[in-house]
Amino acid sequence: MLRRVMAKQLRILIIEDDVYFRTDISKKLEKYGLVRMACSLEDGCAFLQGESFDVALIDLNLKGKDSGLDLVRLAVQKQVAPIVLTGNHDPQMIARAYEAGCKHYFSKLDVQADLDREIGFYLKQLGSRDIEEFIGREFITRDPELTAMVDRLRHQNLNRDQKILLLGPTGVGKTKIAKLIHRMSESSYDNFIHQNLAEIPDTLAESLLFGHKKGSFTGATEDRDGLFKKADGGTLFLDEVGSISLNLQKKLLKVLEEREFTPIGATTPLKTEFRLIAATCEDIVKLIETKKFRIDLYFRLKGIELTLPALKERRGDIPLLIEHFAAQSARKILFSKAAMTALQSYDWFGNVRELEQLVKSFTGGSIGMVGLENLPPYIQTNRNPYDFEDEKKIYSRGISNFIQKHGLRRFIENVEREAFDEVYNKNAGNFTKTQKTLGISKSAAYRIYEELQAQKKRGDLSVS
Amino acid sequence: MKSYKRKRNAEISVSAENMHELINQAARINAILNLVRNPDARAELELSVVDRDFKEALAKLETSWAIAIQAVKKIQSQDSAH
Repeated sequence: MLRRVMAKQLRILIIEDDVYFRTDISKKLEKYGLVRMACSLEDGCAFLQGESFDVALIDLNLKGKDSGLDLVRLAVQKQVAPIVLTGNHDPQMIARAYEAGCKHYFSKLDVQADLDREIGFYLKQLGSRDIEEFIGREFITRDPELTAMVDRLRHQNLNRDQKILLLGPTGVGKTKIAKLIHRMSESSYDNFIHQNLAEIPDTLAESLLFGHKKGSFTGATEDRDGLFKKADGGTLFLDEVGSISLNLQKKLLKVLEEREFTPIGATTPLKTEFRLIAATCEDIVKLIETKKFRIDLYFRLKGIELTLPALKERRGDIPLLIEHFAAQSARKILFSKAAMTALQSYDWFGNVRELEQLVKSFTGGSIGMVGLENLPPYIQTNRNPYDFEDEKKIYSRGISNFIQKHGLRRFIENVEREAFDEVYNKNAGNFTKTQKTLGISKSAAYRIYEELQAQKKRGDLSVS
Repeated sequence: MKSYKRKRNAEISVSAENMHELINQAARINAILNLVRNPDARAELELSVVDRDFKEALAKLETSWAIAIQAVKKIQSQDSAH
């Protein structure tokens, strides 16, 4: 409990003139966060005016009778939750305190048991405010389905044993959701370990996850803790889990089932307790069908399965995200109506990540008012820049045979000439325009032009 | 009858104030005991001052307690007489 509240700290003010009662209560509340103490009406006022608090515990009879009521009113005004701690049990006084805006009225005699429960309530509120802020700041959406999904997640009682599997294409925000789950969970005070398994070869992945003992393999010059140990008590987020080998899948399954693992080269298994969040952008069902992913591991991972929609399925969020990413830069930019329409129509094959990079390229660039003509051609034409089908078509037109027969250099020379010829004809023989369109130097353009003329004279072979 | 009610209300008011004092002193004694039992807090206390304050709080508690008992008895006897 103590370590948890360190992550979400309440700011508590105790206004009480009895030094012993004040100190005793403060010792009890230290575990919840920052506790400040005021011994008089004036001190209490100064604290409430000058600092920000979540909760104020106020003694009603500080100097004169019921002088604490003014503090209750001031706390309400400063959006601090006032809790009255008093020896005064007069029903009229209780009524006046509640009228002034106090949230709870406690007798000093039997407050000890109730205080933990009430402060715990404010801590929970603080946690949910923290999550609200996180969603507003880092997970930008107004999409009803996605909002409902995040909401469901927030209200779910997530215990550490509950595994979560995040599905969805690349760049949709799986990491952000994983971080959100970590924040909401009981393990939020501990480590959040994130590892993209696609980034590391399988041989290294095992050592990275399990850790190793010195001398257990060539290059193991010292003992090293694996991620299973580092994540103990916290959250382990394994991204691109679909990319690991069947052998490693089997080992991962064993760790999840037995909650223990043996580092490479060690003989004694180690216990570990962590929340596992796994993610993949691959079609997991297809991976299972093609026997590339173990079905038992899939069932072990999918305690809760969440599929995040692609950005093109929530186009309403695009202007919101553009505004959000643009606001992160001190240099302000604007998008023309036509540009905005194109951005909203584009299919965002790289999802939110692609949109973020594009907006950042403009905020870091020299264009202030971004027009349609400033957008990359593939956005203007809604073409997938990651689709290499066109190139595949060229290759399938016997180019492979050409390269095998004449070599790659000859092939490149021919492609250069063909491209030059096509653009040169389109530009009605305008040399400078052709050079600029192709984005090559003047000398390179002359070289290609001369080679092209010579080839035409020879009636030489073409790539196609 | 009216003067009896006024007198009774005044006595109840006095006993309410006394109850307030009683609760405050009991809470103070409880807090002192908690702090003395807590090794971290105990290290920060000046024990001679604590001892003096404890005795003082105890004396006040006893006085308040005696007054409270007396007040309750008085009200009970007056109520039974009327």
